[in-house]
Amino acid sequence: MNIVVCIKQIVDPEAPDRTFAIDPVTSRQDRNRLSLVASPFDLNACEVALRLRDGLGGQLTALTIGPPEATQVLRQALGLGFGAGVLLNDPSFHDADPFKTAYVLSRAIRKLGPIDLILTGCESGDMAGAAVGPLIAEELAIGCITYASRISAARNGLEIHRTLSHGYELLHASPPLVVTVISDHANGPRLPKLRDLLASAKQPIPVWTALDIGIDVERFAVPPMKVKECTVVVTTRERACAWIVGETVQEQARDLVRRLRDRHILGSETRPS
Amino acid sequence: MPTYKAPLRDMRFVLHELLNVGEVASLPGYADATPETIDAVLEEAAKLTENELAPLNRSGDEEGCHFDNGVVRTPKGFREAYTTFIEGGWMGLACDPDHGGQGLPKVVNFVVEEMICSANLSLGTYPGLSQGAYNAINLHGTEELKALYCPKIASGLWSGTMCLTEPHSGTDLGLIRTKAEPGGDGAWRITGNKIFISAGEHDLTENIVHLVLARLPGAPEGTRGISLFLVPKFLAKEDGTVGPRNGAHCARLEHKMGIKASATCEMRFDGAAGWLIGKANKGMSAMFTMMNTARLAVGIQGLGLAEAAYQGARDYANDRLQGRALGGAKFPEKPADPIIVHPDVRRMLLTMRAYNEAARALAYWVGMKIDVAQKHPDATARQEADDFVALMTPIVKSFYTDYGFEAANLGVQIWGGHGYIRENGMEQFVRDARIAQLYEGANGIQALDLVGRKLGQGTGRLLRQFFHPVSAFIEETGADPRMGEFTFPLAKAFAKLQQATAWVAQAGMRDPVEAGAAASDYLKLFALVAFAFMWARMARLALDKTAGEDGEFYKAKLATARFFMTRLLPQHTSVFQAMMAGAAPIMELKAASF
Repeated sequence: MNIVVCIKQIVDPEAPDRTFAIDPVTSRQDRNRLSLVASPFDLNACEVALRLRDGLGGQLTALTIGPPEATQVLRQALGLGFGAGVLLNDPSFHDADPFKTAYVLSRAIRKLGPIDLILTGCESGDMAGAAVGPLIAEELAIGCITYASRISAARNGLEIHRTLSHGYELLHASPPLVVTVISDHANGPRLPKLRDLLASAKQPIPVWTALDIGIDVERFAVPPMKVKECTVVVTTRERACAWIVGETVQEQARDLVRRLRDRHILGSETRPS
Repeated sequence: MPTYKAPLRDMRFVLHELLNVGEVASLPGYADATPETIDAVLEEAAKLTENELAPLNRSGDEEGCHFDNGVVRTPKGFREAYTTFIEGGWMGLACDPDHGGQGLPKVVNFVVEEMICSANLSLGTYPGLSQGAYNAINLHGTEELKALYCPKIASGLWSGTMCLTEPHSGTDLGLIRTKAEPGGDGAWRITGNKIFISAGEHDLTENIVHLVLARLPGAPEGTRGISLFLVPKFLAKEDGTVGPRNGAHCARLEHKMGIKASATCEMRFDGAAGWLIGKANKGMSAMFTMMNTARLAVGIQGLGLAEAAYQGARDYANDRLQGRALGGAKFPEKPADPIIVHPDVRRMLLTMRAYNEAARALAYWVGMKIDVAQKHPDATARQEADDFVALMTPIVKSFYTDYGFEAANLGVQIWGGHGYIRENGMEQFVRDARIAQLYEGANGIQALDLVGRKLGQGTGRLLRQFFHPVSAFIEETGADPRMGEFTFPLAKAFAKLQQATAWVAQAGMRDPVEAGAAASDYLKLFALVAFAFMWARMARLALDKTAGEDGEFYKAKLATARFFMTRLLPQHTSVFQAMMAGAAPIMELKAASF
């Protein structure tokens, strides 16, 4: 089975709040001073891909769009056991909206040859648009299943475990297919083996430009983008502590419920016992 | 409870900016150790230690190890974490690729060791002991023993121990009674009791390889009659699988103040089959291969725990709201200011931080010198690097564990009464740190090693490896007005160290009691100067970078350097004066009057 995982490099979501800054000139997030990491859901997608490969065999390829330092996330995938990684880098790829991103990725996927499965995180860890996966499927004119947590081999195709708010559903689907992946206890990213990590450092990573993947310049340029980011602001969040009062645990529980209801966190039908 | 995050930014600063670690890639066998590869390895090591080892630190301390009829069980989760550790190949990080290791430089191992010690010192003792045993077998074992045991230890499937101490023989190993007799089958039969054996028995590995000091029949008295033997828990078959049980058993488990999840065992050897490592009666030399590895590793334990304590104290000081800043409220909208506004809290935090960052810089420098000592094509360069490592080993072991304990105590102090409560995790650092001042040669012994062995070796040859770079640095930077606040105090303290060195050499030659009385103060003086040298070097780098994109990091370096030079380095004058008072005030009181 040939699987491609699309990974986005983002500013570390675990970085302290105080390090978050907006560039006053571009009005965009200032990435210069921050550590960059692979988007967490994309790492879940990597784990789903690795488990499928471990069971069925096949080839795993990681794709990312970004500057040269984005090869870091590709090396991370290689260290986990991916066979190849490709960096998509071209000045025309900068500041892409989800439509443009999906178009660029789909062109690169076509260049890779016949692919059975394309995986990516259900959304990116920074913009949380949740659009790129389905849009890749649209570009490639194949099916898409979103918010999956596990994938296993099934008769005549794949069985996809999709988590719902009150349970899960199992879907059977035939490749080729795009699947977006959520975080789940069953797909937590594995730790790399030191040996693979060292081998990955020596593996060449090809860089593909717009020309290499046959970008339709006309389509790329006009209209410029369907989604426009107008402004980014840093919000402040106030925290306050309140004492829950009451002589007994029951009284304290009643006080807590009252406070939660006053703030409309609990519905009025919730009655303290 | 404190949450550990590996200080990767500072580690990278030391490795890449201060020490230019990329140079090790030019040493034979280290071509793969490029800065990018080292960074990738450290990032993964950070994830491993933060996510797999650190969460078990507190529970491991609460539960401790279990002993039942000779069988030792480690706390819940330790087996799984250890398996993750060895499956990732981390045990073999610095082991020979011929044995399945990754062959990475020792300096990288030092960094990973620091992370392990911060995250979970108890768990770290198991692979730590294995590393020492691996080194001793690899350097002194026969080809057959190396082929059979080294790959197993490098994989982590088998672990190692050092069996030195006996009930009546600790510091003075010349007194050991464990005996080795010919077995008639090429092996020796080892009989005796050993105590305080870390990782002597446990459930993490399928076999345990004990390296045991014992006496051959008719061996000379004292340390000249000691030999080193490899004694496996299970005899190894030729194909590397585990064979029948050997006569090496755990008689009891010690109940300790700290590192409770590290199994400290009394071991009984009942005619156990053993194989000689190195030459007969030359066991001390082979043993010191383990001991030197272990002493530096123990020094790093001090640093690791001090870093963990610092992180816990720093986070608490930023969160805990009590009282108002003395100069007026800093956060009037809050019911109180965070305690980090208070000068005394900052003094304690900066003390921890200033020691940690200097210790990290010096330790990694020593790590790089080990790589040079082992791999450099030029014999003189190898010898010089080896001299530097030998000189610094007692200082790293002793001073790092002394200040590590102090830092752990300061961590509790910053947490106030909450630091004394077990579930908050800070008091564990104090209990865990205490052992590091004792094992692998108590810190007083380290001071004697420095004064008695290292100073005089090769008529000061070892000293030159530190004194020359410090002199050169002072000369280079002495005229730079920006460096004055760093170079001047360094030069002043260095002059005192030179004076103290001459005094110790002369007085010690006259009367060894004088050297013994001066030793601990002298070691502290030496360590303070070594830390001042590291801070001056770091400050020199930082001065040019405060305006750059990571300016805050370099400003923090400079501020911490200033704190060290003005608030910690002045201790050198008091230890100098104490030392120069000589042995008389210590020796005057009759033993019976104590």
